[in-house]
Amino acid sequence: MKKKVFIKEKTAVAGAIELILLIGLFAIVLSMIQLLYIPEIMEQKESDHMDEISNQFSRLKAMMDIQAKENTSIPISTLITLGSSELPYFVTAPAQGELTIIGKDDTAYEIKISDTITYDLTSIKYQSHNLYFVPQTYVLEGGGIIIKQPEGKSVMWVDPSFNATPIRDQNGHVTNIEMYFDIPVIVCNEGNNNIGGFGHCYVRTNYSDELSDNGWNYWSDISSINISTEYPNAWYSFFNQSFEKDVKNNITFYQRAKYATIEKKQQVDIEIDLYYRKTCIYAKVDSGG
Amino acid sequence: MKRRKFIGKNNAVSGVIEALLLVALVSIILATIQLVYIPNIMEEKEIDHMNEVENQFSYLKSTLDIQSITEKDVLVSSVITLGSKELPFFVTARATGSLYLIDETDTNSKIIINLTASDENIPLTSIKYVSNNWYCCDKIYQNYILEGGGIIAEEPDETMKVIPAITKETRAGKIYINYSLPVLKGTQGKKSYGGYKNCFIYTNYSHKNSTISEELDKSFFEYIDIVSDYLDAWNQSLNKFFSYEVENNYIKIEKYPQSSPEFVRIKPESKNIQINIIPIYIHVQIGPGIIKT
Repeated sequence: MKKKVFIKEKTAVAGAIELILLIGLFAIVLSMIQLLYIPEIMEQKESDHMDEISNQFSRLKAMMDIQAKENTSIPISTLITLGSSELPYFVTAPAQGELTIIGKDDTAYEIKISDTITYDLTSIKYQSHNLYFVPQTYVLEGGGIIIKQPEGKSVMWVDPSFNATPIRDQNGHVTNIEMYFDIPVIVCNEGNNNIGGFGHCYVRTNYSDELSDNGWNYWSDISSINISTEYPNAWYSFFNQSFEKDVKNNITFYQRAKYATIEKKQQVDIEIDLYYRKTCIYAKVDSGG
Repeated sequence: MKRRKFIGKNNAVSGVIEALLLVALVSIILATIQLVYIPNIMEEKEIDHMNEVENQFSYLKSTLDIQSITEKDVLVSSVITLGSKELPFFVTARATGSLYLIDETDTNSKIIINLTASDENIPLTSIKYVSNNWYCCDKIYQNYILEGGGIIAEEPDETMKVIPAITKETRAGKIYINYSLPVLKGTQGKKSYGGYKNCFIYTNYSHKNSTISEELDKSFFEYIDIVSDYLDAWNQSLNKFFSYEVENNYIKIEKYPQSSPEFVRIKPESKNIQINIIPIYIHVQIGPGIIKT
């Protein structure tokens, strides 16, 4: 039997090879996009989301400050975006986040004045589970906003309502130091105080007139303020940056593994007078519908 | 006459076929992008825009809340992005949206405190955003409504995203409900706006009326009715907010009448309700420019 020869000439081979090469080129371009460009886009997307979280946390702090200042129990809901979504068609993963309210009954940390008076150090904590951008943790603690990354020290990004002012005599010598500390204490409402995912959620806050201090308390000549916290470096760096030279000359402050402390220097003969006020804010996390 | 032969050999055919194949390939790729990928991109774009609107509505609500708290007559502008633009080069449609102020003169929604002696009527005003999306119609809520201080998302179904400024307390056998209710006052010609660009909503505090304070007695069958276009949202959110009181049969919250609901009824069951509503009047203007009130 005669064998049929299908390819007699090589005239059209160039076209076929070219087509195969084109498909190969297309596949290479797609792979390049997936391996190089998409991670960059996703990193940018997660970075944008972190910027959004920082805005939302600063807004949450502002709302709580307004509620405390006005002493009003009108509740306000602040939106928090928990995560960012994936890109369609390409192999990407959504970034998730988790929001937790650590109220006065749940916290392990406290503020101790002269080893006598104790206030709970409460917080609202957002933890991102980013896959492309560095995962960040935002914590609204003691009225300040702290940022923490897995490798690195915690930083006080927005200062709490705490300040120290040197009082001088007619000759300009420092006679005493006045400190003001507005201590927000978060009280969890009934219900769930933890939420995770990548959608929206709301933090509903309202001021409690009943639980808060009625005006400023005064304590003359305190010996120390001890803040036990998960983020001692943030508090230490805040003291270091915000205290002026005359304050630093008369007090000492340091950090240890689980606390940051301010103490009066032994050899100086001045008083540290503290004005402090506890403002209680009810907080609840709501999934929004 | 000798006939000329144009195609004598087949050597150049491959090039022509290749060009045709290439054109076909490009067409197929373009068609696939247009028919499959572009609708997905547009859907993502519209979903992002609706998320932005939710964000902007929560900012608008907190602005109204701050104005209610501070009671200062300061004009504050809040932005709402009405739509999202089309993609260049491809065949896509622009998403548009409209904003409406339904103020105390236009609204049919209200809160009725039904007492044996007399009734109290308080208008339930709203700012409504209606989107005109093309790609994400069944994927995400299409309309947002700020009614009575709460944020409602509507279509395909409805839900209360943020509950109004209501607080509750059970004390001395009574349930105390405090409600700071923003009542919106509009200006003729500044109650609606549409398009796809940013739209500003100007708000300023007007005044606060004296607190409407009534005790609803369970033995006289007194109750509160919330008349609204969004009964499911109100019913679900109030039942969720008062879940403890409802589970313990202190109060009952349900849509009424059950066959064709017209309002949400809150009535005392085993405990009386002390309701305190503070109507806080806020001027609202929508669109470019401000008319001095």
